[in-house]
Amino acid sequence: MEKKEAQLQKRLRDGDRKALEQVYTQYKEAFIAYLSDRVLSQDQLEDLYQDSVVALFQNFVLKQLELESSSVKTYLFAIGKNKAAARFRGPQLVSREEIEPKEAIYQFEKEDLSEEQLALKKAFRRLSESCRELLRMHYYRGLTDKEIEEMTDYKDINTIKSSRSRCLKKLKSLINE
Amino acid sequence: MNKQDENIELFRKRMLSLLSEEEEQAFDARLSTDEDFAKEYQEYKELAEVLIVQEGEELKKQLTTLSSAPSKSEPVWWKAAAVVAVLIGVFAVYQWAPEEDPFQNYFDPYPNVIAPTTRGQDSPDSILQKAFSKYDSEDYQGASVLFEEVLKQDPSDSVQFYWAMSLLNAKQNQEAQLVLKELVEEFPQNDFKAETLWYYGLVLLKNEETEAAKDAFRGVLDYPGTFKKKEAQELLAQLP
Repeated sequence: MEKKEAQLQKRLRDGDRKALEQVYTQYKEAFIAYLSDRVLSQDQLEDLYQDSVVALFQNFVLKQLELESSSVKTYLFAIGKNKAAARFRGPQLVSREEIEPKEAIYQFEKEDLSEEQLALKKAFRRLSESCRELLRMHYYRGLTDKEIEEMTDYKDINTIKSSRSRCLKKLKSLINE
Repeated sequence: MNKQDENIELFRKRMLSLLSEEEEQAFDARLSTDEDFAKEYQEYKELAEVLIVQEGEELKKQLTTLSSAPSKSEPVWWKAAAVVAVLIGVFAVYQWAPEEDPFQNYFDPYPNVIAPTTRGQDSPDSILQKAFSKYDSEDYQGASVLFEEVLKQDPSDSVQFYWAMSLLNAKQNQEAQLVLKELVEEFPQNDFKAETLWYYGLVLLKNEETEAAKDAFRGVLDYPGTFKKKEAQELLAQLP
């Protein structure tokens, strides 16, 4: 793999928001040219592109993705084609050869959230920042308590566990408010 | 790796479809026999999905801000118009800046992005909701009292940021400076990092601490994202 590409993938895995912006700027023109005959308006295209870049970024963060047979660019385009097909009822465009099964795209969108989850989401925004960060590290980034201990100022793993359960309790109480 | 971490790792892989076919079958078999395991997975997945959506929305917001800057594919006339607009802007700054207060020129109230006040809300009664409702209706004095109240019970950097914003809007500049200073120094990772530095810079300028203000504006430039970068640059160029 080319060095630059490998570095970019590493930054995406680490959740580097600058890398998100870099991908967005770098492939925008090509992406839009690629899909412009399938998507009606410029606004829809822009929206589709933003959603695709976000999905790409989240796949890297969540799955700690390492692309071997494809590149960030082909992966991004595959996501875009999928999304265009789903949104605009076009034919399914992604051929199976393009993406390895283990690199399959993970998708979870707001529309997929249940009523309970929507309430949870609303309550989450009202938690203190320290709680949000702690829950984000565990549930979103999938870090172990050991890793969290190394990255933060918590005294030890037990403190992390008890803080997390306190935060969860608080979150549940906020839902019922 | 301890047992709990092992479970979490499994949950995560199942949720993201990263298990092999065999592993997945074993996992699903365990779900149907082990009630506690099933409940734990359900809880994990529910919250993880919420956070994935939540984070996705924030990332998209970042891209939307980025795309509001003109892109390469804009037609040429648009660029020409932009150049003219900038020239007029520069001209205006040169014409008027010396007589005016940079704080007044650059200050605008930061919007409430935490708890938008909506009509007919079920529970508008928490102090935090009330504080934001006052903030939204521009009763900054009232809001600052309530934010301070919330902070006493439940310290949070976002709430502290809005406390500072209320103070600034209520023209209590000395106190706002102290609150922002504390945010900058003690919560270097807060959600509103660039915003905090920007407003801290402005209030320092207002309180005639130009050197410290310049440091804060440089901080805005160093921070990823586009928030107030242009303005910080302009101010740095203008300040002695």
